[in-house]
This record gives sequence, structure tokens and C-alpha cells, in this order.
Amino acid sequence: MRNTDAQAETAGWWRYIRRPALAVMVALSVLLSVVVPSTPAQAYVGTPWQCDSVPKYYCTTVEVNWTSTYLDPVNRWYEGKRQEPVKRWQLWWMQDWICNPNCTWLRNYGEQPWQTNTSWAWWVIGGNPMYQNALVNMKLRYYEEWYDMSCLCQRQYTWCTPQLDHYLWSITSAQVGAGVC
Amino acid sequence: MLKSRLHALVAIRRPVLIGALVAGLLIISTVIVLTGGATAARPEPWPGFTMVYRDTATSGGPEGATISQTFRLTYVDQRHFRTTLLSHSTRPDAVGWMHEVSGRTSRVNDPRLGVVQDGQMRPDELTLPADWLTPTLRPRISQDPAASVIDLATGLARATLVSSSGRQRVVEEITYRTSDGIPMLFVQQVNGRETRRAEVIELRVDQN
Repeated sequence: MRNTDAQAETAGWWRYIRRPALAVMVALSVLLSVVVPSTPAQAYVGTPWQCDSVPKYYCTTVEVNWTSTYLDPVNRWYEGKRQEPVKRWQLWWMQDWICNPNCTWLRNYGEQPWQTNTSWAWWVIGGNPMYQNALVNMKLRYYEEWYDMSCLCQRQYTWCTPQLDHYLWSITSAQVGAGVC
Repeated sequence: MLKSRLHALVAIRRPVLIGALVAGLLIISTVIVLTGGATAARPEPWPGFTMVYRDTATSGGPEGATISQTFRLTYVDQRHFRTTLLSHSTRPDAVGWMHEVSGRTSRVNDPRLGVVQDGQMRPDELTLPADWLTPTLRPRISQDPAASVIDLATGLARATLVSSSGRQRVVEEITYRTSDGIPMLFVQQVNGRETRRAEVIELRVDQN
């Protein structure tokens, strides 16, 4: 038997094995392609933390359960504490915006109660699902009081964090603006 | 004789009583003036000025990103000032962001969003242009008993305060004008690494 004849005979046998194997592989591929897309791609991620530089007073992030079509739910986290001469702090405002591509104001969560904790504590505002291209921004406010020897008078001030932006469509964040309340 | 002595005593005592009453009123009013009182007008330590400053801060969060912003601050008094964003290292589309405090009204206009904030502060509330810009003749840090203050002999002084925040050693340093207390530089370091620098690039004080 010449080699070419043997090769031809072997190829024939392989053909009979290969066809069923291929059939099974194709069937599995079809099955997977049907099953997998029915479960939406999901990612539960948080935007980069925005904290003051120590951190000494605040940290914020927005948690996103992101699918290919919507953001649900959205947990808006803020953490804070006070340190002398700060006597109390609060979430002063928090807003939801939809940017498609221009930004339209959606809702305001309003001023939250003053807090006096000296160790870190966190609060969260959840719910209110939004579509893609959403922005959550917030500002925290601090009240401080101290005796000024240069004027022999009591100084009482509020100062704020910069505007803390969380861009949900790109899972990014930034601090914008000055610390005015 | 006794009557005449009594008359003499009354004649002496009345002026003494009146004098003591006037002196007491003077002392009380002086104390009230010095202590300010809750409703007395707050002293304005700073003159009006226009300032351009750059604020570079590294976020203390896990990502630790550094953002640098440049502002123009137009300051009239504690209830009238305007801050405008001139540059932003990561969000150039935010340039033009502006916060204006006028009396009790506080308004923020973000060029990307429109009016973000428009509200009224409480009658007794004062806010600051920034946490390091406190209107006072001597910055708060310099008045801390633990601070060291150095006269730089250039019309400036520098106050340094070392403190702890958890496991972190924090050094805060503020350089200010000795004539009016306006800060020119604020630097914060955490465990030897600089995390915040607010530096005045330009200052024009109003001539009154």
C-alpha cells in the first residue's frame, strides 16, 4: 500500500469522526449564543472617590449597577466627620442630571440633617433609577466656630466642599469649583 | 449736729453713687463692644481686593487623583464676593463656573449645567470663599497654641501647625500678609507628601 493510499484511507476515517464532532460543536455554539445574550451584561461599579486631601472631612462616590440599557439602582454615598473647629457638617445639596448630550436637571434631594460625629460615618441615598448619561453632583457643608484673638470676637463660618461631580456614563468623577457654600 | 452730719453724708454720697453708676455703665458697654455680641456688626478685617489663585489638591480617596484649578476671586466684604473658575486640569468644559455671594443670596452657575444653586443663607450665616480664606487679621492656624509663627520680614509671616489624623501626620502651613491677614499660600502635607497647595498668583488690593 502506498502512502498516498494510506493517507486517503485515514482521511476517510477522520471524515466520519470529524463530522459528528463538528455537528456537536456547532450545536453548542448555537445554544450558547442563544442563552448568553438573554442575561444582560452587568457591572456593579463605583465612580472614583472624591475626598478632601487628608481625608479629613469628606468622601463621596456613586455606585452604579450598569446594564447595557439603564442604570439601576444608583446608590449615592457620602461619608463625613467633623474635627475642631468644625462643630457640625451636612450634605447641603445633591442633584441628579440627565445629559443627552446637554444636561437637564432631574431632581434635587435637598438639605440633609446636620451631623456631629467625630469618627467616620456614611450615609446613602438610593433608588431613583436613571437612564445612561446621568450625572450626580453634591456639596457638603461645614460650620466652624472659634475665638479670634485678633479681634477678640467669635468667628462663625460655613465653608463647603467643591462641587463633587460623578459622571455615571463614563464612571468618572471630578471636583469642580471652589469651596463656597 | 447729727442732722447736719447726715445731710453732709447724703450730699457726699449722691455724687459718689452717680459716679459709680456711670462708671459701671461704661465698663459694661466696653465689655459688650469688645466681645462683639451675637447681633453686633461683624468687623471687616480685609479690604476689598481681586485675587487670582491656583488650588491643587490630591484626593485622599483610594484613587488619589490630583486636580488643579485656577480661580479669580473678587472680594468686597464678607457678604459680597464672586469666584470664577479660570482653568481646570481635567474638566476644561467647566471653565467659567462661577459662585457669587451677594448679601444672603448664594448662586452657582456651571457652564455645563446652568444655574446649579440659587438660594438664601440664614440672616446670621457667613460663608467663606474657600476653607483656607478666612477673613481675619491673623489666620486661625497662626492662633493655635501649638503653631509656630515666623515673621518673614517681607511683610509676610508663616504659621505652621503639625497635627495627627488617625495614622497620618498632617502639616499645615499658611503664609499671610502681616498688614491685613490676607493669605498668600496654603500648603498641606500628609506623611511628608504634599497633598494641597493653594497659591496666590496675583493680588490687587483696592485703594480706599
